[in-house]
Order: sequence, then structure tokens, then C-alpha cells
Amino acid sequence: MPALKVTSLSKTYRESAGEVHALGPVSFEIEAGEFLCFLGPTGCGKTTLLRAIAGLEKPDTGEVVIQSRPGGGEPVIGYVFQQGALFPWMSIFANLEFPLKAKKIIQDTRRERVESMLDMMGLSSFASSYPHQLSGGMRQRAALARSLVMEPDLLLMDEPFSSLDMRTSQELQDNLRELLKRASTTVIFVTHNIEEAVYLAGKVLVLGHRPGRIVRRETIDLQDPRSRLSDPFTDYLVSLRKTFESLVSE
Amino acid sequence: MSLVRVALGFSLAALIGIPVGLLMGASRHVRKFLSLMVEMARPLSAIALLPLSIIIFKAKTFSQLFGLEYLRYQKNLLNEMQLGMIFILFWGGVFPIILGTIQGVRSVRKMHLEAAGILGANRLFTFRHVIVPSALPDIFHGLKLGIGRCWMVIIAAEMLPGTNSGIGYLIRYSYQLSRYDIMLASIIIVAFIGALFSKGLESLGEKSLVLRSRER
Repeated sequence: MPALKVTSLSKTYRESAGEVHALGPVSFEIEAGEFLCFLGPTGCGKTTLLRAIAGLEKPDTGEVVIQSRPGGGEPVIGYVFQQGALFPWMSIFANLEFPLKAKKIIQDTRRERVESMLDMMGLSSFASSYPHQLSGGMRQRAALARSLVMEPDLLLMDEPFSSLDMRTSQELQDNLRELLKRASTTVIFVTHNIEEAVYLAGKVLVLGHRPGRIVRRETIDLQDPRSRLSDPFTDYLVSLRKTFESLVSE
Repeated sequence: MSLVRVALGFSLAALIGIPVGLLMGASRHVRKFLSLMVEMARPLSAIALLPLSIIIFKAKTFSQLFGLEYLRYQKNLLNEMQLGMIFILFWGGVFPIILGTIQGVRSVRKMHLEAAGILGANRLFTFRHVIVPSALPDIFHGLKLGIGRCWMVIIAAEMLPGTNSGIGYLIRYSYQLSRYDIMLASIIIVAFIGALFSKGLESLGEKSLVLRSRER
């Protein structure tokens, strides 16, 4: 059974200016532990799709089925927002503690888990800092840490690195791969950056826009560690770029 | 004397205004139900209500409220706390506080509410740890306006007949005695204390304001 099964999901926004058919219908499945990337130009409904999976948006049609935990419990979903959405009035430590506190996990365990997560993400020295004192990259890192500390079964990421400069974003991509090697988290990552998609994903689904629908499914068969300069890597890049260009010129 | 009266009236306004504002901000039903009442009551000048509130509360003071009748003819702090006056102070202060609090609750960013939901927080937890802290700067703004109003109201109220204490009373009394030096000095003191109030609340609210305004 797939970790997530999405069947003919679609969404239309009704605004005063008229109807915008933002998404779908879109259907796909993802296996447990897989890293799936949605690649598409701006305004193709990527965010809408992610929000619908997370339950933040009610789709017009279609169904989202997320596999429950092995023990039969509710699946835990993590969501990394484009702007991080850290709480500015809380320290980084308190931000990471928030989801554990909400789950009523006892204080000692809480502290332990937050500290080891901060350590893993290289954020230990910023534990008592506030979000506005951090650089953009560190903020996104903290936002990622806040999602991972809940040990999610499914991690949804909405262009989390798109507002960062290239170096920082590549650094975070490496971090993310490193972290995911240790856990068996299923990930859906949304981006408009082709290179990012090829570097991170096991499978790339290309979305065309208005309405967003899947126009290409590509499995990225590259060995670890991936090199951005290797020939197979650039082959994927060029091939996806062509699909991308044809979409934009449509 | 004026300070004690304001402290009482203002604390009462804050104690009632903040919870009412929080409820009105958080729940659409409560807001619908109460907003007409608030909007009708708000423009009513507190001073205009002074005679009415004296009729309602008689000239009752705190010493009577606590059954300390024997204090009645002594010069005593409790004896000077006329309920009517406290009531109009409350009236003057409570609306800016309610409105500020509503504003604060409603301007919580949707992104933060969604994040809280995804992170597994239920409604009560979100309210305590997300809505209230993010509304704090606006609540402080409301408190600042509220205490300014209270201060204006008390001076005017003390100038009306029925009091024989307080700085407003001093202004009127010195005027009657043609002691304009005392009158002017009192006015300056009033201005100074008023400024002190709002500066004090401002510095209290500063921290939360700084944190919120710096976010991106």
C-alpha cells in the first residue's frame, strides 16, 4: 500500500474577477520513504496541491489517502512553508519545542529531542536566538528542524529554499539529503528549480499550468553522492529544461 | 488620590477589556453579538455618564461597599473611592482596550495559524501560544490609549461637584482662590503624569513589538 494516494484532485478558486481553475485533476501515488518532487513554473498550482494534501485547503474533487502509522495511529505530517513561518516571538528552542509541547510530551524528553535536533542541524549555538536575529538560511534550517522534530511520516516542503542564495540553498539541499538518509521519511518537495529537483528527488513529476496537471513523470536514476557536474545529471537537466520551455511557451 | 482612582478604574477596565476583546477577536459569533453594543456605548462620553452613574451608585464609596460604615466621616482612602467615579473611569478606559485587543487577535498572520495547526496544536493551545503573544503589541497599544482616556476622564470628573480631593479638584479649587500659580503647576503635573503613563506602558510593550515588527 502506498504511503500516499491522491486521486483526481482538483481545485477552482472563485474570485470576484472570475474563476481560476488552479489545479487538476491530478492523480499520483508515492511509496513509503520515497522522495517526490513536483516541478513546475510559477502559478501551476504546486502550492495548492501541497496545501490540499496537508488539509489546509479543501479540494473541489478528489481524494487524499495517507497511510496510517504501523501501530494504527494518525500519520504525522510535517510542512515547511516557503517563508518558514517560525514564530517570531519565540526563541529557536521554543519554536522547536512547540510541536512537542502541543503533543503533551513531558519536559525532559522534549528538551532531549530538541537539543539533539538542534545539534544535528548545526543550530545549537542559536538555541536562545530569535528568528529575526538569524540569516535567511539559518531561519529555513530552523523551520526544517521544527518539522523534523515531530518525526513526521510525510514531510511536505513548499519551495523552502527558493528565497535563499544559490550557495546557501545548495548547502541546505545537502543537509536535507543527509538527514533523510537516517530517517525513512516520505517527502513531497515542490519547486520551480530544475536543478534542485534533479539533485534531491527520486522521482520528478512536472506540472503544467492553468490548470495544473502532470505532464511528465521522470525517475531520477542517479548514484549517491550526486554530482551536479556529472554527465547523467546534466542530461536530466537538459531534458527537463526542454519540457519546461515547451510549457512556458504554450 | 487621583492616581489611586485611576489605578482602580484602569485595572478594572483592563481586567474586563482584555478578555472581552480576546473573545470578540477569536469568535465570530461573540463579535457579532457584542459589536453593536460596543459601537453604541463607545462614543458615549464618560463624563456624560457621571451624573447617571452617581444616581445609580448613589454617592457610595468603597468603605460602604465593604461595610465599613464607621469610616464614613473620616478622611480615609477608601472613603474617597466613589463607585460612580470608578465606573466612569472603567467606561473611559475599557473601549480602547477592547478594540485594541480585537485588532490584535484579528491581525494574527494566517501563516502562523496554519503552522500551529500543522504542528499539532489544538485550538486552546494555538490561542495561548500563538494568538495571544502575537496580539500583545496591539493589546499594549489599547492599554496605552485606555490609560490616557482614564486620566482625562478623572481630571474632568474631579472638577465637577461632589469631590473634595484629587488633582482635578485642586485645579478647580486653586482657580476659585485665584491661586493661578498652583493651578498652572497642577496642570503641568497632570501633563507630566499622563506622559509617564503612556511611556511606561510603551516600554512594557516594546519587547513584543520589536519581535513582531522584525519578522518577515
